[in-house]
Amino acid sequence: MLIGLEYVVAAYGIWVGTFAIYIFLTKRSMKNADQTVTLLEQRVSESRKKSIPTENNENSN
Amino acid sequence: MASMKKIILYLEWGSILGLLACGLWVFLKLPLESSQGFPQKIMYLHVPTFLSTYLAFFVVFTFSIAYLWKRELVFDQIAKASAEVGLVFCALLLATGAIWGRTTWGTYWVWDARLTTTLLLFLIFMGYFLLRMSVNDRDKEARLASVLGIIGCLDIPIIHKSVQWWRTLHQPSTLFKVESGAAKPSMPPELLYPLIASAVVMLVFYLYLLLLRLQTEKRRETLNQLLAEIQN
Repeated sequence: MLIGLEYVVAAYGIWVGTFAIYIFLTKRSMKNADQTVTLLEQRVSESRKKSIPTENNENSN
Repeated sequence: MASMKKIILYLEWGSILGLLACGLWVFLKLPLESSQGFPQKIMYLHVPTFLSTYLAFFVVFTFSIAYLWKRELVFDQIAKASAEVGLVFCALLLATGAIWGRTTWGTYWVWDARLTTTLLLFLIFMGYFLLRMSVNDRDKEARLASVLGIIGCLDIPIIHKSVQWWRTLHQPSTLFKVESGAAKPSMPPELLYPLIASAVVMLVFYLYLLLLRLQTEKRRETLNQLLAEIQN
């Protein structure tokens, strides 16, 4: 049995575990932001489409 | 955008494979160091983590100055992304250092100059994010965070020189020592080469994390702009 094995395992385990969680959370946050941006862009473009005919009507009047 | 995704993917796999290769080299190929034994393997994690922490905060320093000078939001985004990655590296630097310290000094923590100044750096950058969260105006947030980022990074030269300026328990420079005006490696080549390789791979890993975090930051910025547009 290697002396101090538990310390080496703890150090490497904490390092790998922390970055695994950090990368997972960052990727999830990016995915969520992506989905929300797509939804909001759709909503913005839809509201613009709706507002254009109204403006045209106002101009024709 | 697509090319950036490709770069991030290459960096991701490059750094994961590189870290695995370094791990195999350190654990399967290297002989046990005579004075510390097996816990000396922590050095191949601790020292590269410390170099990445330095680099991350140097990037914060550079891009904070660039933001204050040019007022380009992208500089603040880079500084913010690097500060977050640097904070994670700094936390791991303290954790791995404490574990290594337990095996070599017999204690997890001492109020030694090197350890205390590193903890101070960690706390300053915790404050950096609290400051960012507490300000609503985006320009004001970037301005104040840049100032704090620059002040915080002034701690790095103090950390670096602390082992020379004060009598500390922490060992002096691990990679090189200065003898009669010339820098010489402070360990035999069979121990030094894997350390240099681990440091290079860790810097690539830092670059990967920085770009990944920056992409997230850009998306959040777009999201905030869209929300502001909808509210108006």
